[in-house]
Amino acid sequence: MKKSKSSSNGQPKPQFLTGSEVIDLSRLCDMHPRLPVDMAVLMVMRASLGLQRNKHTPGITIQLTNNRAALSHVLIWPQTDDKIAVQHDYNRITEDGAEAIALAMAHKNRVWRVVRRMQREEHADWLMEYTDNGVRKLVAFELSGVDKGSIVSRVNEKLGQVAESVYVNYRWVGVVGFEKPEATLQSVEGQIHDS
Amino acid sequence: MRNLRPHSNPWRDKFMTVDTLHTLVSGAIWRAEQLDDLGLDTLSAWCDVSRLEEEIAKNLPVKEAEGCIARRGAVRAALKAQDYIRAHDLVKGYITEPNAPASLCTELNNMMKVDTNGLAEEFPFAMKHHNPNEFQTEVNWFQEAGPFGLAVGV
Repeated sequence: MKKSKSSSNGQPKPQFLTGSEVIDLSRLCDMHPRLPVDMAVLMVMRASLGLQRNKHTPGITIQLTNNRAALSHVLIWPQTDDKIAVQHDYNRITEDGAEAIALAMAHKNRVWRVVRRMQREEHADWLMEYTDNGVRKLVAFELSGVDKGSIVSRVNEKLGQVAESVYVNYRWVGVVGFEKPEATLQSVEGQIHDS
Repeated sequence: MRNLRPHSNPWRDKFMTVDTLHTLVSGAIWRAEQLDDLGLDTLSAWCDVSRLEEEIAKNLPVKEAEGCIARRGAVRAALKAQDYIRAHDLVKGYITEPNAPASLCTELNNMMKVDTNGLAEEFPFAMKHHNPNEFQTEVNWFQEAGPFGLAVGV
């Protein structure tokens, strides 16, 4: 966030958020052009329902642990009428909402893009890509969400799962906790790589 | 291979890119998984997934990671759609491709073995007298022609 400066009349200027700090979920399709639009809309809607049922409003700060580095982002999203939550399965709100948030965070912090969704038996939800010195790298990305409570045990559980993924350069997990809110992006041990 | 590409579509052949197919398969897998979670009939959904994975596999060489993932996906989704003959034909084509990694061939054969074991547990008598391909042919014939057709066919 930019520091507020005094204007010529002595009044403090309003604070503006810089683009690098803000994650706008409504731009998920711009971040990941291969993500199907209908799917992205539903995922973002479920993310908003998951955040709002934990009494959060757009503009909240989300704490991120990006491979052990602590960061924070301001999260904004198009608000959804809470009444329509009854049309959605409770767990799907958590899981799909977490996917929307984690995909946005992965793009913002690691410059990854979605290649495709993978079947469950591939041990990861998404195949992601990024370029490192002109060389294309593939990442198996397993995602999960926790509505209430700590995300630590879920991160460990998912690290064990994604470690079995094959044919990729790296294996990562992304777990989002809606209560705080918080998120972790973590690579499987031995595969740590800073892009 | 039987019925794997029943209709030629010039528009698709000209404009369908791997990126487009990746987008389509992502949506198809997501829908099939959501239906699975709701306990609804997912056979046609997995059939769609299998056909899209097969199209991706046609466009990506087997030595590339995404090519391997698509080939595994095509076979796995065909098995989830309970189309054993299609799965068998796909495996036969993929393991005879030049440069097919040995690990991929092993995995594809294992998928078929696991599915055959499942069939043997579910239909022990039928599987005692038929191999999985014959068994699936009989099932397909029964579904298409009904019991009378099966009797005539026999």
